[in-house]
Amino acid sequence: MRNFGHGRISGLFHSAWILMRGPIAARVTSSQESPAERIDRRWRRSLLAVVVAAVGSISLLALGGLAATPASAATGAPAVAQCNPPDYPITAGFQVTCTVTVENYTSASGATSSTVTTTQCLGAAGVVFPSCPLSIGPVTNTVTSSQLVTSVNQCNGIVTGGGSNVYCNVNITNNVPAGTPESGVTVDQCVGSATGLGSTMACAPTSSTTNATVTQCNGSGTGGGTYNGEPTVGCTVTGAATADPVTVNQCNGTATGGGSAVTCMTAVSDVFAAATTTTTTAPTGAGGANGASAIGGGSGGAAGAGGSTGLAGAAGTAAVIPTGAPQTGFGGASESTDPALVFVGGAALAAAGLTMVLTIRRQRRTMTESLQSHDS
Amino acid sequence: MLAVTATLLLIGAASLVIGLQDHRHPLAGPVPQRSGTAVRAAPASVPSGTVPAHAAVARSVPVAVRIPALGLAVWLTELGLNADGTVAVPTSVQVPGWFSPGPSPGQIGSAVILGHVDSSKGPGVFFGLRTLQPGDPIEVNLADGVIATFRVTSVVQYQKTAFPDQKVYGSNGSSALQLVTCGGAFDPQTGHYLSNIVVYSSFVSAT
Repeated sequence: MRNFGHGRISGLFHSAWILMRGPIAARVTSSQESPAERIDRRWRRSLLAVVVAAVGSISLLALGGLAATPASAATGAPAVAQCNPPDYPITAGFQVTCTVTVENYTSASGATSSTVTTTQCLGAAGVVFPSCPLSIGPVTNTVTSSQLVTSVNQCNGIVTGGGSNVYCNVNITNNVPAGTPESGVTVDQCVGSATGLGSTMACAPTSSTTNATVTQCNGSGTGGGTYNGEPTVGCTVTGAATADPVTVNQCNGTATGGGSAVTCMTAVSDVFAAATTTTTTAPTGAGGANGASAIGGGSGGAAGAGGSTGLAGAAGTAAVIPTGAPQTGFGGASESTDPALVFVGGAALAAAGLTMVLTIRRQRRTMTESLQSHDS
Repeated sequence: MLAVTATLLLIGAASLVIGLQDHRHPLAGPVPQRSGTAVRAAPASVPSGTVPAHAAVARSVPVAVRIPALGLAVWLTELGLNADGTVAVPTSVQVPGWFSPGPSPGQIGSAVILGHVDSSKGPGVFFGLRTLQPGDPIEVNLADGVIATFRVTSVVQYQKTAFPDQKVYGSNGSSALQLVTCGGAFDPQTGHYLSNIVVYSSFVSAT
């Protein structure tokens, strides 16, 4: 997995090791040490101290950031916030996974309620759920309220030190009576992101809108580089209309260090209480079978009419059948090189070079000895 | 010594040439089996096995999937439909997605999770999917805290031109989970694989 942060630290240790070699070599010849060599040795020792101090400071900062991170909890409805500073670190080398699932309910009489489920996981970069061995997660929390959720705010301005992965999702379902008017979902996404060298961006849509319903992935992933073929910034918004005005603000100004990846998604959908739906229908009349359990644990839906969406009761599941085969591969595994053979080849060539050098030196020595014996 | 040098040079050059060449795609060919026939035939219908005849789990958003046989435990995203009616695929190569307009895992019907087999650089999250065997467990963490467990009933490779939409996404009245990724031969002209791998699994329990 990603080793950007580890590579940087190991580079510092490597530098320290190189610096340590100088004084040791100097000590061996200390009896013949000149003033210039003495100054050079002192300079090396000073630099070594600086490097060690820097490594220590970075480690302490990272550990301190984690230790100071309390078990973050999302706030209850109607405003949901999680995975933001100071609960989440702004240092390097993390994997952040946070999701918010909102179920808004409005009855025909106008009564409202909401259920918010949040999950979060903070781990070292490359560590995936359910291993969140640092200080947070995996945590799943469910909050109910008599109010509708109006905003979600998460994953903003975090892990900006480089070498981090941020996966944050928001899923909003508005359960409303039939005939409830919808408004458009406007998007402000992926503006000023992935501007670094070697960055890639995959956003759908890429859009700049003031006071948008969904504002995400702006000014993020700007440090350059990619991770394992993934887009540096990959963000999507699905759902064109919403019955409840829920604003989403996530993944902005996040993971701005090099070698980071930001993947954030927002999905908005409306479910109408009556047997109507905005989604496509199953052409084979399998709706009844799919009009199963109601969202939120209600009783099983009654059988839907053949060819209908199968939405029965409060909120059954539509039998939506996509068309065509999904494109879930890009051929990277078919075009990869064999690292073992490349290593063997490199090692063999290096060994060949070494033996050649040894051969040349031996021949020179032989020639020198023969010349000396010839002179004497 | 010169002979040694020459030999090493030859070995090094040959290894580098072979190592840097494109390899035969590891996903091409039939779906592997631990025993039995080389090619697993497509089932006549969505596998049922010991599938209960009713939904055991209320609808809840799946947040993570764990496949012990692959050493895989990842979070899930949600996927919808593209404007042309095709299923949206995950943005991230390393994060699979649940097709949210369909049933959630454990509900009656076919819950579907899609993931990439690879990126342009290397393996994706579902690279090992084709190696799953009947009986292998799949666990799905739902947002309400329930863990729905499924068991693989079959692994089938379909030509994309003959992808069985109804079989994968439709319902036979029981609770099923299908995992979908790409497989088969890779067509460098189109930049896509020619087949899909579908892992059919049936609901076992919920805790």
